Amino acid sequence: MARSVHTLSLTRKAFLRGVAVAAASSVLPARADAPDDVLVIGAGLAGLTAARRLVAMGYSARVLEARGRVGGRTVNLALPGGHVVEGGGEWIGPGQDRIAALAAEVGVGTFPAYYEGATTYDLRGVISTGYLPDFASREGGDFFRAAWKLDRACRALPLGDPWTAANAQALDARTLGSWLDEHATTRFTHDIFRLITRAIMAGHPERISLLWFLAYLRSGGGLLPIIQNDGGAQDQRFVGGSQAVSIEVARALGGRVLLGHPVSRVTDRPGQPVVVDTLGGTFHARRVVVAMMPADTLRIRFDPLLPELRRELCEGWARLTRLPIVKLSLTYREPFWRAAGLNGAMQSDRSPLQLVFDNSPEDGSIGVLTGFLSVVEAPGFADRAARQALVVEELVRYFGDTARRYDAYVEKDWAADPWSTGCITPLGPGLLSRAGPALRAPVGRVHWAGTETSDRWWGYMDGAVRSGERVAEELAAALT
Amino acid sequence: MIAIWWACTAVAPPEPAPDVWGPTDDGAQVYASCASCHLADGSGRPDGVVPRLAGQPAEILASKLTRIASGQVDLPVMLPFARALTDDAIAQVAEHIEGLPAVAVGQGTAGGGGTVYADHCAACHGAAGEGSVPLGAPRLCGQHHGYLLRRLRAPESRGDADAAMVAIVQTLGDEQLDAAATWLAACTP
Repeated sequence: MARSVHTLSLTRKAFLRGVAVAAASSVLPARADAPDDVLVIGAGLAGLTAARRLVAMGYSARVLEARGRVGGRTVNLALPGGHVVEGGGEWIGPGQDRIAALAAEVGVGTFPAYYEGATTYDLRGVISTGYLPDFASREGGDFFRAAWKLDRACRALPLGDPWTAANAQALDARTLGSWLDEHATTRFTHDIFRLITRAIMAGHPERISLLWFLAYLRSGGGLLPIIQNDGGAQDQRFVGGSQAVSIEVARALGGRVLLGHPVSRVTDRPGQPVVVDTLGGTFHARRVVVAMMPADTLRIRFDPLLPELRRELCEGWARLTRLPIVKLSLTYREPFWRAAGLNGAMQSDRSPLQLVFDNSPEDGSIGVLTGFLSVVEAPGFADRAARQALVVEELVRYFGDTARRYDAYVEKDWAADPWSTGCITPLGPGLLSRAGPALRAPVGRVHWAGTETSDRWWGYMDGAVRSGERVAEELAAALT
Repeated sequence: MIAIWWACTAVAPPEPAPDVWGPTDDGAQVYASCASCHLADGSGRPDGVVPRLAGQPAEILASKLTRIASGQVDLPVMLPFARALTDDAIAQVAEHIEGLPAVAVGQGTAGGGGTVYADHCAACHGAAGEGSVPLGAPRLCGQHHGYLLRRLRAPESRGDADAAMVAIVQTLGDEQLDAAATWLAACTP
């Protein structure tokens, strides 16, 4: 194989050449016992990116995936008429260059998310429409002062390893909530930050470590790029749904991606290849990449045991309180709200539907409203059948009776997903400053990827792709 | 007027942030993580996606968590959570869950499920579905119908049902399973 082709900038041409080489030598290894250079555990964006890079560099790599699908925390849900809607991560925005480049390489296009028109707000018991919610100038000033202070504080953190900051422990000893108690003088500021953390991070300010919150802002370039829709992290969507990127990368990898292979054990003993046991057989490799969310890596037994700090990281992660999200979508004959001058977006501090937005396909041929809901916050919505009816009534409240005439209802309930412990998990106090160094540090011949290991766009699809690229370089250096 | 709006719409007062790092010596603190799915009162999801836990005997819960953590029970969705717990934490959270308000042991009313239950299940799970710690039989009264049916239709799927359980279920038709589940679920709070 062309192992000398150690190009890190993977062009489409180079990749196609790689595919051609693979096809010509029919490198679609079916034998479980043939040692690979690298086995990647997890066929989300991080794992697939790592494998794609390694293969392009001339290494043999296979991806072991527990699920019967690729994409990890991105998943397309089928809608009538051949449309799809995302049940997981879906947006990209400026600065998210790596996911953009990967999508372009595999031929998945993007289009602007729909934000033309007024947003509906249901705050403090008042329903209003406009670009911004109603607030007094004193409230606005207070919010922007707090936002500015947080923005400045996040820029003081080192990118990628916030735990090395001199004040990391102090920042990690408190929550965003306690910081707001100290620095925000209006209820409005508290409420808006609560909306932000619920909608973007699936957590409440009083549960979120201040260090983690600032590190999250830092990784995305500040508060504004993260919360802004058009021009920010919610700017663009993928044609054919976000999972299309993973599907296309996997298609190119062909038989190297093995679905239905949950890994139970990784054995890294001197003098022999790393042994990876799965339900579908035992595999061997020179190196292993675990491309999973840290808590999910507890699914795997490591022999020898992982270092104490790494175990503490993963166990602490699994013990966090979280707001598992149900992401639900309703389809309509057309995006009827647009004619009324609305952009379909709704934010509320009282509705169980904390956030609603227009998720229609690019051509607007059907209308799709998508919302986020946490059953923890709204136990009355815990029953799926009841939930559907209750959600419709919520939408009627904001968009009128037409909202009742929907064609299809689909949802992705992340609490019920057997292979992901939630979608996003904001860290509570004490975890990041102490165990952060274990996030990326390889253990023996085991390397770590996943959006939570990324220096930029932590928790985003872009972070996942970056982590895959980073780990591929790490392996290339280790395997030479 | 504004004050009234504030009063009406104030969000729930923030709970104190748990020390996720410190020793988990408090069952309620450990349970905060479980509550993300099983809900704060341990009632689970009415549609059966997540089972009701409140009132389940601590021994049954601790045994289940230990077997999930060891891989003996194949339950991927719970695995990371179970493995994150020390033996002490398991004991404490199990105690906490047992103490959550349970559905009163009553009599289901629906259809002929009571007869099916009495004939095939009551010997281990108790006359009213109250469970039996010595037999390792979970409390079932008030458990969600969807959850019971899912487990009854594939009792062997997770490796946590003993041979007797699997054998008994195999003698029953789907209608009987449905009836028994309906009867058990009819004990509501």
